[in-house]
Amino acid sequence: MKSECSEHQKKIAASFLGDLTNEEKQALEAHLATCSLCRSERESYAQTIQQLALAGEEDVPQHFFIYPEKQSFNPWQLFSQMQRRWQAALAAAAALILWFGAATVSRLQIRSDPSGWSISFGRSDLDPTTLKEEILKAAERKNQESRAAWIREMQTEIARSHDSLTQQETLQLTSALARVDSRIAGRIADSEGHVRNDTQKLVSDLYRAVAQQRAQDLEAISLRFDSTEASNAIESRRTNEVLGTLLEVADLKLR
Amino acid sequence: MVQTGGSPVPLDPDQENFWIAASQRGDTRAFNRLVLKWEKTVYNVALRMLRDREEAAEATQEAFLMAFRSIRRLRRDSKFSTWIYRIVLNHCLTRVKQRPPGTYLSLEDASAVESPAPQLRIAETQVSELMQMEQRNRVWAALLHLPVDQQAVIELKYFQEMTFEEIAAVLEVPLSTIKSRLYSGLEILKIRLGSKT
Repeated sequence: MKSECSEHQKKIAASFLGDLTNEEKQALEAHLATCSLCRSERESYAQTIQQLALAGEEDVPQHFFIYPEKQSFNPWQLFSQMQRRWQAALAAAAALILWFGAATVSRLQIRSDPSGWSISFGRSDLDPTTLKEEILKAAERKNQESRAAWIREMQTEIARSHDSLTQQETLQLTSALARVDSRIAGRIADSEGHVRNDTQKLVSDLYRAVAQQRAQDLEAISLRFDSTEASNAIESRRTNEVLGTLLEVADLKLR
Repeated sequence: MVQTGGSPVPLDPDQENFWIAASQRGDTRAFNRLVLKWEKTVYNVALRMLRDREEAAEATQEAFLMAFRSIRRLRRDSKFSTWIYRIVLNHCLTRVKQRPPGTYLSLEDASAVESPAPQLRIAETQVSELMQMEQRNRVWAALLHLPVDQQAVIELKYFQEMTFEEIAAVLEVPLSTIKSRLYSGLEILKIRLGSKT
């Protein structure tokens, strides 16, 4: 094979791949017109390409439709399906929560001092005893203030009431109070009288009932005594009779 | 260029874009329209890459599922064809590379299993059909001997009729690599297919 042909045969492959410029195509065609070896090579490529067409295409054995899947809850998948802006918002929220969490765990303290802002980590340098005293003092101060305010308010109210009453109103108020007092006293006396009468009646009824019961009991006791006395007399008579009989028997035996 | 059917009949691009947009909102019916349009192409790509009908069907189904799951990431300026070719080719390449060493699959064998003695049932009037079948098996056998990387490039160039730039976009490799693989693949095919013609 001539070296010229070797070069052209590379171009033949390129021509079947559509990788030649117009000038290269023209040069190749000119060479092919004079070289049977290269024409044969081109024929070989052409047959290869033709045979590839025989591979053909097959019909699908089935349709490859997809169906909604029963998805288990997968947070990552849910996140990946979100729109970009929602993903960004969620990521920012998560970062903020993490930042607060880390700040809580590390006891981050940010203070504003007269000299400026200060940031520190770890335990607070506040003394709990001092803090407690401060809180108690603040509470007491608050109480004192509240009490003073209440006293001022009451004094104001009393002064206002005293000033607002005229002499006539004071007299009217005094007589009204006297009337109310007398009415209450009368009511109490009436109530006492009612209570007394009711008590007397109750006591006399009770006495009567007790006396009646007592009389019945005495009568029953008397009857009981009488029957006991009678039975004792009978018993005594029988004993005497037995003793008499025994004496008579003894007397007869002695004789 | 090889006339095998190639890409599906081009439909209204707006219609396809509409289906893509609906699929991105999770509409499976819209995505199934895309499946209907592309399934034959995708299946035949998988079939030529895997040489096994059952495995090709499986790979096609998986490729469409992967496409549906990730369609939200398909940008508006991207072509669906480029994207679906990339998915199915990468999936097939992964499958081929995962095969145990020495595994040999061919449709020639598959045909033999499905019809043990086809020539006995074919009348003399159908001799041309038998010859066509034999030639087809030769093509399959020649493709079988290509390295998978070259095979993918040949697939896109001759069966999907893509330009070098489109192939580079699908496979995400440099243009020079694409050309190199194409020249090598074509040379191998010429040797294998040209020897008995």
